[in-house]
Amino acid sequence: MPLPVVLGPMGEVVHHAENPAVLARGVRLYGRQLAVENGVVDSNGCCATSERSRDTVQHGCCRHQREREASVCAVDQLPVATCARRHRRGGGPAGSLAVMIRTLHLEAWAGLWVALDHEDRVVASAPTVKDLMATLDGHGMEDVEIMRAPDPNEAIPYGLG
Amino acid sequence: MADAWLYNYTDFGEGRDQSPRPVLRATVPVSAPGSRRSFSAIIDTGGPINLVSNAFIETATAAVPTDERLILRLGGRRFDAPVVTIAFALHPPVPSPAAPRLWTGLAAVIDPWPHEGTAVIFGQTGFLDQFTVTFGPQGFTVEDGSTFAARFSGAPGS
Repeated sequence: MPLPVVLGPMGEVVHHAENPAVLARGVRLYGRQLAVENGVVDSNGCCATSERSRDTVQHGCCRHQREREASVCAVDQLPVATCARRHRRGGGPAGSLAVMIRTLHLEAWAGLWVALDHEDRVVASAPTVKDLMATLDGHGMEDVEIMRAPDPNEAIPYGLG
Repeated sequence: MADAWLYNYTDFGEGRDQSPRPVLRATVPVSAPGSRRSFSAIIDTGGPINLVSNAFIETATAAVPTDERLILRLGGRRFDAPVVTIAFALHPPVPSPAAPRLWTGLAAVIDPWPHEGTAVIFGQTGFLDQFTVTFGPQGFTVEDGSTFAARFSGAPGS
């Protein structure tokens, strides 16, 4: 689900939060920011229907324009140049690089090790990496990326020491 | 890797709704050569050497022990970590069709693994001495190690 965000002048995400109070705090803190896009722009800094940003902006547009050589956006059926302007928010100059964030939604697996496919969907999970590897072996799963899903309530590690 | 590989920062959801700002990590997918299961590896510019977990070592068929050990502190704990020579495969950003970049570097093996977000950490020795990494506000790039010298040799102050 798209997260409400506050965008900076270059289209960068400076705040995002599902909680309106937290978002409002961010708005106060960054009162000069240009836009609050509740549910319109997601945390990728891209259009609302883009749930991930792995390929955001690498195309000069959102992930919906999957092919660099495509001349028409697959979503809007508009010329790419138009699509790029529609999907980029925050008033950045033409040709500028918007923020690139791969936003993962792993709350349902908090504290577990997970394997994600190329669409960032969780295809397996387990309490330990060893168990996860056994699960992947058991199902013959390949082409995955492994990481641990954080608990959003955990303290945020500062550095790695 | 003739071209720069442009990666997104990753928001794993750490502290989501505690802080109005996303917690962004510079991570790249890495595996043992030939493996189709990659680990999300954090690039830690303050780290002296690559760190890998036993879970990663178990996927690597070509980890060669050295006679070196390092005393390291990680996650508030002290580790007497053996150092191995290991082959890595750096995967390009999705959806690039480029082949993974292979290299061999040193890594310290940490067991038990204390860090909660990943099983591989890239530091100075073994990664930053192999690649030119450029961090920007919007994303970061990984290029050949020779790129830095080619780009900046002869520059004022060099």
